[in-house]
Amino acid sequence: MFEILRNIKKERHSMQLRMILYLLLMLFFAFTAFVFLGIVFGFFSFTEDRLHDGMQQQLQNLAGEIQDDVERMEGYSHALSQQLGKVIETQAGEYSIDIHRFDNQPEELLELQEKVYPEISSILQLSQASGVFAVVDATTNTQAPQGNLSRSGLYLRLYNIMTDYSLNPKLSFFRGIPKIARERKIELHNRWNMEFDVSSLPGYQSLLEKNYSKPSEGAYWTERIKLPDTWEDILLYVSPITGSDGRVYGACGVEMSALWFRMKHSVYDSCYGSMVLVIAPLSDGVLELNGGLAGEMEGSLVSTEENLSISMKRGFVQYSSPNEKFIGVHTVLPMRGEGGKAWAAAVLMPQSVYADYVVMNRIKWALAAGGLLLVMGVAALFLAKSYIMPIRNSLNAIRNGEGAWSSLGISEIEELLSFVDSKLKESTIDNTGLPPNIAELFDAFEHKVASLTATEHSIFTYYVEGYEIGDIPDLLFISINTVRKHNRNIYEKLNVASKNELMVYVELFQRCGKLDCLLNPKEPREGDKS
Amino acid sequence: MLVLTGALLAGCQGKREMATLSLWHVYGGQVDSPLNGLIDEFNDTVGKEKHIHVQVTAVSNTNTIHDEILAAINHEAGAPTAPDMFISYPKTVMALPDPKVLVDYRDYFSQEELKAYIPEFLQEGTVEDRLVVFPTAKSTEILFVNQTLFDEFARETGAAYEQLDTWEGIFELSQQYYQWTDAKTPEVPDDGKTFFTHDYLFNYLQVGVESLGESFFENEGIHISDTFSQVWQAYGNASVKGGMWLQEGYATEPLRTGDAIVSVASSASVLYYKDEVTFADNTSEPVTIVARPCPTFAKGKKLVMQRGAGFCTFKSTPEKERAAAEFLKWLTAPECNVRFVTQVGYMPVTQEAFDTYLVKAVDQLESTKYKSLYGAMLKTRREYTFYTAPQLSSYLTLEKNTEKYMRFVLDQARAEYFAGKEGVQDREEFARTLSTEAMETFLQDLQ
Repeated sequence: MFEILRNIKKERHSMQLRMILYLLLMLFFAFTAFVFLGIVFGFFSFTEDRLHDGMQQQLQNLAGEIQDDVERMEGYSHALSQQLGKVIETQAGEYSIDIHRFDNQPEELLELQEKVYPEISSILQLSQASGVFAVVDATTNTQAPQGNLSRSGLYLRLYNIMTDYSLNPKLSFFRGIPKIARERKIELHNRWNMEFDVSSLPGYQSLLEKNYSKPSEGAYWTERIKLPDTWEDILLYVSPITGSDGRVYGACGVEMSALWFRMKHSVYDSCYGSMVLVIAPLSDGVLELNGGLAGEMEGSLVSTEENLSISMKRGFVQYSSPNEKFIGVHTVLPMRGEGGKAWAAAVLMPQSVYADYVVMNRIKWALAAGGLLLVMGVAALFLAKSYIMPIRNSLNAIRNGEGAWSSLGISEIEELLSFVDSKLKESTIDNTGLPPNIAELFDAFEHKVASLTATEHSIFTYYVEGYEIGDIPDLLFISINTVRKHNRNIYEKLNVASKNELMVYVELFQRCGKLDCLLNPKEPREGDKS
Repeated sequence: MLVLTGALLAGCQGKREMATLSLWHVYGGQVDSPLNGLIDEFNDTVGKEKHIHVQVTAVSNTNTIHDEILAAINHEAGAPTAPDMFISYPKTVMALPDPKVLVDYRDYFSQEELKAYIPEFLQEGTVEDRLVVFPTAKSTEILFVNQTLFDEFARETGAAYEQLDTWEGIFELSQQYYQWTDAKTPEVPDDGKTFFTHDYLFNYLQVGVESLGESFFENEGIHISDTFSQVWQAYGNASVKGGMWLQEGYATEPLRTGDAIVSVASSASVLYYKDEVTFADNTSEPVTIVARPCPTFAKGKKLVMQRGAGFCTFKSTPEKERAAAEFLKWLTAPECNVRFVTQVGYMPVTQEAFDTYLVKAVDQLESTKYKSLYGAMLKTRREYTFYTAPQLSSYLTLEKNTEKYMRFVLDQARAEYFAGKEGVQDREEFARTLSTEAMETFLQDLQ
């Protein structure tokens, strides 16, 4: 920039061009100031659009992945339902049985579980779920305490969930007859029980009340439940085990653990803040997060203990809990919840985090605009100095009569200065630099002073030097009368009426710097006649 | 402009990056973890103040963590991402390609701070002169008894609790118990129940041999000696005759199903013993579980295995490493440490915690099981010498193989015993022979 300025300075440009440059600079300055204020007060922002697009993209990815997982898990659950229906009827040796015929038949239930185990074991691997279960509506001992709620079944879980898909899954035997686990060297879960407590299996009793032509008719996803006596939360996909006539023998399905979901869906760190992916039941404008699952929540403020009410605010969907507000987007998933409840996938970001991003973004842009303003201010000062200073210097040179002034590179100003200089030169008559009539008067008086005799001139000189008439006798060793006589002659020759008038002339000469002409007249002086 | 910018900046000052530490731990396994609650407390208090967030990403066991950490470090296909912190024994550290990937806690704890910890615990966590396994809780092996079923057995057979103090007593009781339970169904021959289960047979052999004054290890392998043979035979005989549980898995399992009534396991397993037994007919019986010090050989020294893994932290940024140290300082502060360990069946790691807080905390325990456990642990601390396993690179392999092979060969020998005992004159000799053969096969397999 300095190089450009230097070149501009070197070249001759018209004042018009420079004025245009100044004007452009001012316009740019005003524009930058306008932008600065616009940024500060948030009039210019494309962040919302970009964030919205980013969230939509994330949601699309999430919904796609979840849809794949859900379809796979549901499909294998339905297949398991149908297969187990056949296994039960084969074991019973007839179709359309009363499942309660297995009550109090431990040997038969063991045999059944031996046949069920390979089915659920293979579904666990194929479905990539965190657990698979199958429960039949019969119990080993109807007389046992809580025998009315206890049902025989198998429940295998993965216990080394440290990634979303393990190549080396380790099984844990959560429910079932221990002999099955021991024969296969599978560890019993720390909270193993022989049978299921069906009161903790949501929707189980209702499932038994109907007949289904195919498993998908009655199947549903439970809301998030706590795995009894453990620290883990899970969703279960519950599919009816149906006989050949559609009657329900029990339920089976897969488990989607909260830990598995968290491993699979890591938090997305966008430039706007962390986005958390959640799935949850959707009902009456409320995203029921306390029944859903959330992806990795590191650094976010999402709590799966609170439901979120949905509203629209400034182009975003706002999700509010009593403690926190989020912005985000959501879409309905093809998941059937218990009682037909819809499920949705959502991408959420804490509103406060987004607000912080917006403020930081504004600061960044405001600082950039402010910096630009500062640069333009400095440039303006530099330009002003480099253009104005030579003009002022040239004017001073002309005023002081120094004659030469340097080239400015501004044609209009150079023309103006030349004009002023020539006019000044024309207005000067002689070397005295006085107006002609005054100069004439001065010359006449000087001539008159030259006509004074030596004594008269001495007395005149003493007057110039400030002496009074009474001082002269002592200075020249003459009488006062002689002084008076010379005075008369001086007044007469100089054509003045009094000493005061004489001193006016002296003052005038002194102010004009020409006093020396009076004290040392060039013309020869007359001899002293007295 | 400056005023406006200043006002905007003022609106967002004071924000600081949160140091988030992912953690794999073992305290709780598949049950509700007490450490998770304490971590929540830390995150809500000190963590909030110091911008540290500890996030539990897995609660498992040390064997699984060992496998997964090695898989992660070696970038194996399907391996998880390694966490910032994990719980392990020094054996896992020694199996790492380079143990220097772990933080040396001496960089974050002053000498003065480290003086507060029990020196043996720090020593156990020191690998290659670097403190890489930080002790937060220490356990020891304890004898757990299903008091309800044992009392029933004792009433009818005259068995006494004092017999549980020695291995000889336990092996004798195991025979008695098998015969007693077998006799309950005379129509079904040889259906007696096992009496005893041990969590780590490798520990039984190791501590048993050392307690009798012999070295268990020789170079990187097992030192075969008469003492080793004697210790093996004692367990082998009892196993072959059906008194000992030989299936793999935790000692809590057979006690949960009533398939055994006495176990030796880590004191930390107290969390996994349920106060009821579920039998094969799906009936459950409430039971009382009590603890006693680990049995020793009658002629042996009172030696007991010291257990309890510690926290390892992967090197990362100074902020994260400092945050990890802050968390460990909080967790091992005497009052907090005692609160933590008494929920999970461990011992605290500082002298002050032992002297000032532990006894008081034990007095306030409401659970009979926990009270009994801490009574046994304090007695163990008073009367026993703690044995710490040596840091051998072959340790983990020896341990895994011993657990697998010893159970397998003894199970085979037992099957052989019950299949052939009817045709032999001297069943004792028959059992001893089978046990000896099993030992030879075991040692051969171990090679």
